[in-house]
Order: sequence, then C-alpha cells, then structure tokens
Amino acid sequence: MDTFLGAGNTWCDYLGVIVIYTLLFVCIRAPWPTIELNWRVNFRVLAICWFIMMFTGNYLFYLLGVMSFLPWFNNLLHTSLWIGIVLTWLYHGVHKHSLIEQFILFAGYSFIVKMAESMMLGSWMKESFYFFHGRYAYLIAMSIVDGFYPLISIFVLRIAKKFVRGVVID
Amino acid sequence: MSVPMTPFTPQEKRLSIYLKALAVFYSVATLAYLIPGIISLPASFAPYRFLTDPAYDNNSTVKIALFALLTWIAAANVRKYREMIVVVIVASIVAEIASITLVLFAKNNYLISTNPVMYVTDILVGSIIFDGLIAGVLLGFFLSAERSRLNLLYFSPMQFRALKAVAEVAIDGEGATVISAEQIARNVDEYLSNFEAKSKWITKVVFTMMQIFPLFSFNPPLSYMSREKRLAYLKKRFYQDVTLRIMPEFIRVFIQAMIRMSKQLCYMGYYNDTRVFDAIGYKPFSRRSDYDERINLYPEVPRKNLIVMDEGSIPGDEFSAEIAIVGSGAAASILAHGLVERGHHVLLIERGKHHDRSEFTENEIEMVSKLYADGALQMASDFRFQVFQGSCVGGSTVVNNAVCFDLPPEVLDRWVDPRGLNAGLSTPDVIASMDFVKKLIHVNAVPLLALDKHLNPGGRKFIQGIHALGLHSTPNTYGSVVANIEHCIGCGYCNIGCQFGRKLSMLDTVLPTVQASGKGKLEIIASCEVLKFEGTGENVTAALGEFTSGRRIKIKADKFILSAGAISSSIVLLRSGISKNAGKRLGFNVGSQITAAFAERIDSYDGLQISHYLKPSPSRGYVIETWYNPPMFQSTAMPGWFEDHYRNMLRYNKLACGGVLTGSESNAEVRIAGLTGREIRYTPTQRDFTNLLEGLKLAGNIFLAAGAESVMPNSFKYYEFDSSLALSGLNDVLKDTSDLSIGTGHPQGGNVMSKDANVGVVGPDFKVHGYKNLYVCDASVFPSTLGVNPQITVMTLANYAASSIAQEA
Repeated sequence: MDTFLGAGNTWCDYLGVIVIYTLLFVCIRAPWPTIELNWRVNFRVLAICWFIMMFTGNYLFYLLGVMSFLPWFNNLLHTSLWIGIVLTWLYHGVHKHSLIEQFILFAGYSFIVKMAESMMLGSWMKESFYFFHGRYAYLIAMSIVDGFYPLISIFVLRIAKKFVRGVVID
Repeated sequence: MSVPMTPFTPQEKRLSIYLKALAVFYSVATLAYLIPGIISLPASFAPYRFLTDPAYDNNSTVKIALFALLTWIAAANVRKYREMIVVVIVASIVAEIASITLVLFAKNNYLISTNPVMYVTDILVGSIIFDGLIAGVLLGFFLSAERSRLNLLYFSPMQFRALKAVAEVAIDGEGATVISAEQIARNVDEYLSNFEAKSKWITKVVFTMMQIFPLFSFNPPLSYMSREKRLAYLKKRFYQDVTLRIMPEFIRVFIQAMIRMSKQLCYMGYYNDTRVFDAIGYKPFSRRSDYDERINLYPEVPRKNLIVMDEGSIPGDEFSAEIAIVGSGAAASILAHGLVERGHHVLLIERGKHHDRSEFTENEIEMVSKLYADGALQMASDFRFQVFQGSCVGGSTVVNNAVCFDLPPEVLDRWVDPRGLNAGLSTPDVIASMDFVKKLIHVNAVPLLALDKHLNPGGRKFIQGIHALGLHSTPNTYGSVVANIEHCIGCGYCNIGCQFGRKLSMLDTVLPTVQASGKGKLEIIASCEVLKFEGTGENVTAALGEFTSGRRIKIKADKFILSAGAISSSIVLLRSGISKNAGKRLGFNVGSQITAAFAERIDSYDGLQISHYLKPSPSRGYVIETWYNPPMFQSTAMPGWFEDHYRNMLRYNKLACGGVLTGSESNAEVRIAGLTGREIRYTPTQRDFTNLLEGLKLAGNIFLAAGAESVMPNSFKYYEFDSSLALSGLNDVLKDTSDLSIGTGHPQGGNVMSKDANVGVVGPDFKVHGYKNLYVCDASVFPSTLGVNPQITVMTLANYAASSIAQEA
C-alpha cells in the first residue's frame, strides 16, 4: 500500500488533492468554458499522449535516479487529471499566446500543484536536484520541466496529424 | 366570492365524499387522542407514553379537531367553502415541513416506548408518511375539482384567478367593458393552450407570482382582494413605487417584468375578441365597406406551391445534402437562390412550421402563435427589452413590414475600414449585389407598391406635420416607404402574414420559384431545430436537429451555412462550442413608439402598416416610421395604465403612431443561460437613449404640427403632452430606458465579420474562422448595426456570399 498511496497517506489526502485540482480547473476553465469544436480531436490526442508519456516517464526517470518516486495512485491522478485534462485545457486556451507567456503559466500552475501534493502526500521530495540543494530545488526544477508542455505539445500535434484525422495545427 | 350555480362536477363530488370521510376520521381521531389521557388505561399500555402524555395529546387534539371542523364544513359545499380546504392543505404542508425538520435536526430524540423500542422521531416519521398521504390525496382531488369546475386548458386554478383579478382592473374605465374579466381570462387560457412556444411556461410563473406577491407586504393574495383594494395595490406597488424608484433595482426589474407581461396578456384576451371591435371602432378587413372593391382592384396573386418535408416524411435518423442551410428566412432564401442557380443541391432546415398563405387569417393571436411561436416571447435578461422574430418557413420575411432601406454608405465604409472592423468586403461587389437583390425581390415604391389611399392614413398626418415643420427640404429624406410589396390593398395585416400575397415574402416568392426552377435541388425540412454542429477538426460533419416531437436527426452535408438569424445563429454556435467570439458584439435597431391622438377619426389601421418615414440628414442616429396595428398588437404598445389605457383604446380609430428606430451600439450579448437557454444581455447606452428621446420628441412634434390634440410616448409612467413646449420636457421625466418601453425586430451582430480572427467570428468569405466548411450568413455577421430596416442588407450579403461559397464548392 505504501507504493500505491504513499507512506502514511489516506484516501482523504487524495480527496484533498482532487479538491485542489478542481479549484485550479475552475480558474483555468473560466475564460474558456468549452473546448472549441475544431480543437476537440487535439484535446483528446494531447490528453492521452501526455498521460501515457508522463505516467511511464515519471517511473522511468525514478529508475534512472532523476526523479523521486511518485506513489502509483499519485502518479495516476497527476498525469491523467492534472496534466491530461487540466493542463491540456489550459493549453487549448493559451496556445496562441507567446511561448514565454505559456511557459510562465504552465510552470507557475505546476509549482502550485506540486507544492500542494508535496504538502499533502509527501511526494515530489528530494534533497537536491543536481547542483541545487534545498527543499524547493527539486520542486522548482520539475515545475520548470512542466513549463515545456506547450513546446512539446507542438511536436506531439505535428506528429499526430500524420496519423489522426481531425488534428489541427493553428 | 360568488358561488356558481352550475351543478357539481364529478370531480367536485369526489372531493366532497373524501372530505366527509376525513371529517369522520378526524372526529374519531380527536376522541382517540382525548380518551386515553383522561381514563385509566390497562397496565399493558404503560410503555406507550405518547398515548397518555397530556401535552402530546393536547397538541394533537387541537390540530385534529380543527381539521375535523374545517373538513366537516367544507364537505357541505366544496365551492362555497373552498378556502377551508386550502387552509387544511396549507396546514398539512406546514406540519409536514415541521416534522421533516424535526426528524432531521431535532437534538432531543427521547425514548417514547420501550416495548417495542420507539423514539419520538419514529412517531414523526410515521406521521410524515400517513399525514402526507392524506394531504396528498386531498391536494390532488382539490386541484382536479378546481380544474373541472373552471374547465381550464392551460393555467392552474390559482394562476387563472390571478389573471382574472388583473384583467378586472387592467381593462376598465368609464363605461362598461364589452366582455367580463372571466371571459378575458378564459380567452387568454385558450390562446396559450394553443400557443406554439416552448417558453410560454413563463406566463404561468408570472401569474403565480402575481397571486402570491402581495403576501410579502402582508396583504391577501391578489385575487382575494376587493376590486378597489386590488387596483390601489397594483397602482401603488407596480406603478408608483416603480416610477419613484423606491426599491432596489433587481426588485424593480422583476416587478416591471411581471406587470408588463400580465397587462399584455390581459390586453390580448380583451382586444383580440371580436366582440370588442365595435366598441373601439375597429373593423377587420373582411368587414370593411370597400373590401370587395379592394380585393377586385388587382388580379388575384396565384399561390405558388412549396413542398416542405416534415418529421413524418423523413424516415431514419440521418439525412444527407450537399449544402445544408440552417434557417429559411431572408438570408437562407437568397443563398438558396444563388446556390441552386449555380447547380448546387441545397437543403433548408427551419425551426418553425410551414404555414401556407391560405392558412393566414385576420386573427392576431392565432397568427402570432403560428408565425412567431417562441419568437414572440424573446426578452432581454432584464425583461425590459423585447426581441420579436418570426419562426416559420420564410422566417421574418413572412411577418415583417418588408420595408427596404439601402445599406447606408457610411455604415458600409465603417465596416470595411481596415483600421476599424475590417470586414474585408468589396464595396463595389456589395453595391452590385444590392442592386441585383432589389430587382430579384421586386422592391417597389408608390404607386406600384400601393395606391396612396391604401397607405396607413396616420402616415398622411405624419407627412402633413413634416411639411408644417419645414422638414421636407433636402438633405432630409422622407415620404412613403419602398418595400418588396406589390399592389398592396391595405388590409393592415403585414405583421401577421399577408394572406393576399401582396407582400413578396420568401415563402411566397423566392422559395417556391427556386424550388420549381431548380428541379429538385431545393429541399426544405420544417419543424426541425438545429441544436448544434458536430465535427472532426476543422470540418463540420453533421448538424444535429430535433423535431418538435423530440425526435433527433443527424443531417450530413459537405457544407453548412448558418442563417438562423442573429440570436439563433449565435446560440447554435455557442451550443456547438464554436468560436469564443460567438454571441458577442450584438446590437439592435432599438425602437420605441409615440402615439398621437386626433380629434377626428383617421382609421390608421386601414392601410399598409409601415407607410411613411423621415430620415433626418445629416444623420441624427435615428429614423422615424409610421406604424399602426390591428387592436391586439396595438394595445400592447398603447401608452397608459388602467383607465388611461382603456380610454386610449376607446379612441383607437382616432390615433396615429410613429416608431423611432435607432441603431444601438454593439454592447449586447447572447448567451446560453437564463430561463430559456438564450439569454440576451443588453443595456442601452446613454447614446442609444438620447437618440431615442430626440427621435420621440421630433416624431411627437411632427404629429402635433399635423393637428394632433396630444402625443403619448410609450413610457412606463403615463405622460400625455399637448404642446411642443410640454414635449420638450420629455428629457426631464424619462431618466433612462427603464422608463420607456423598447423593443426590436432587428437584432444584428453577434457573429461579426472581420478579417481579424481575434475580433470576428467569420471572415470576408463568411467562413467561420478555424473551419473549412462552416459559414454564417445573416444579420449576425453585421459588424455594427444599420439604424434602418435590415432586410435588404441581409439579402445583399447573402447574394454576395452565395457566389463565393458556390465557387468553393
């Protein structure tokens, strides 16, 4: 159970995390209440790709020693709900903004969520990240990595367009 | 309360029997509560404290004995003592609510019996179920008895009483009314039962609220007040308090909406009744002395056959077409013309029903129900602004006044200004398209449009006034209107469908012609509302339609064109999740009327409804058009309350009316929200309000100069001005548009055209930004409002779009 929920974590802790996701989702969704019809295929493609990439990536990078271990349920929620749905929704809204703006938004939101998960579930904890030491070094580094979501999504969509009908590059 | 002498209905007899049974039951129960408390029960009853507890017994005895008394009396005559039944029902509901509250939240749930173990909440739960059943059956029988006695078709008995109560005071004055308040209410009940509008349930809410609203100020429900008290109450709460603004704005909005709709429904019930016509000096066209002469003046217009499919003629749940157009009005018909002519197969999908011209009658209510449906009940979210739109095959062209004003050059310049809205239209092509359309739909002027004597007689007064004030010199333009009307015989029924085929609506002209010449290339589905589009990526693949029965159908096509009108087109896009800009930048030609009273009879109803106009130049931001209606429509725009309104309607044939039309700023928005899922948010700006006021003053002065005894703006508070000097004070008494009745039949914008995808919904090719095969073409693409009747502009753009869409196909 320790590897599934994380040591000392209960279902209630996860409920708290879902509440945080929901609150952030409400904020993110407010300016873009629906996914534009011509972007729905993009949304599905990105949500699925990001979920698969991050769910497996988080574990592989842990095995490589780059990341700390994410309990399986934490990993599932984070990659499916947060990255798959909420961040993809955010990307739908801001993908025409400048890459710098997008980077700041994604890194900022990710930092809030990782901080919350760290405080509630004890995950995203590492003493240091390469040459940087201190509690926040790893959190900030991982948030910065999430800031590249928009850039990577451009490539994901370009590749997907070759295989999936309805993917739009705009 | 009067007691009708008609025999009891079977439902009333059933209620009476039930009440008798309850009276016996409650009487026995009263004794059953009392006796155990005052006699010595055997020791075996000791655990059951609730049977012997004096406090418990006392409360229950009082309640049950009171019920026994009330039901006993009510059972004797369920009509005469109906209030007693109401008291029993209300008391039962209160008891139920109290019991449920105690079960859920009571802190002291003590043990009341040890064998079996029973807490006080267990008793309460039993009581909730048992008493609930008794009260539920009583309520059901009571409502059924009330309905059967009143023989209602639409309203509940309570709503009907409120309607009757309002009618009794809303239509009254010196001299007796021709029909009773009861008959007025019955008329309204019958009209609404036949009214083909989904949103008509709002009327039920309004009359329920009207009935209970007095309770909030410690008055009896509206229908329980005496006539005098009711009149005084309505005048104080719904008139004086509103005009004096002594209540918070949100309550004021609510109250204005309630009284406006209540009054208008009462007027409908009264002034649509043929028995009233003589009293107000109105003669329906078929009863006018020169009816035969007018009918025979020109050859009869042959009726063209239009083949329209309905739900029954479409099997399966899919339908395919090359080009599917949503709507069948001005834009859709011209698009169909242009596309079929170029060899394409077109399908029109219309939300409203198909009514052939031969079905048109002189009955205003019947025609409003058939041709407007929900389009007659569209209100802005603050209920102060009404948006009329036709909802039938042919769209608003069937019910509009067919007035044709060119697209004003200054408006077109603004639209195409690259530094401004940047619509990207080609000005020469637009002008060429306008010329083509005017020929296609036969835009005529007097005398081909109509003989001068068949124009609205009130319009002649208007022209007299223009001359008297010296407004007839250039650069002002004025005179009789031009319209796609030919040989009008002046019946005055433009807004309820021209049964004589003189108004060249799309239903009568373009659609049947295209269908006949297109050899099967134009198909029309009626009574099918397109809910939304479905798609994959940049391609829209299907339109999801719903018939009035609720059955859904998927319509597949290579191209989709949305031409459902400014409000509905935006709603369809929003429902589909298309374009973040959809529904925004909406505007209107906002209109308000001013009525002029003359000493002599002028019979304004006896001629073309909108006949004359004045367009001041340089532009003052408005145009004035003369306008007059048959009694029901006119009563809803008639200034005054209670006796003032009644008095004005009595001089219906001595009145003329002018409407001021101003193009609003594009600050409105339509959203999927509110009670009907199509919320129109609009607050007129100060500029809109000032334009309206200036226009009303000028129109009033024109009528006064023509010899009118007085003029009356259509304001919330009643004002009657008998001189130009008095009228100049209009600005002082009307503070904002909430003091004025305003409405429109011309919504524009919402899906505006702009090259800039961040601003507009469609580009210069009418294609929705971001989509390959979805177009919008109707008044919703106007980048700003016109300030004149938009029909020609809508058609001009449709013809312009048809060529570019056809080229791409």
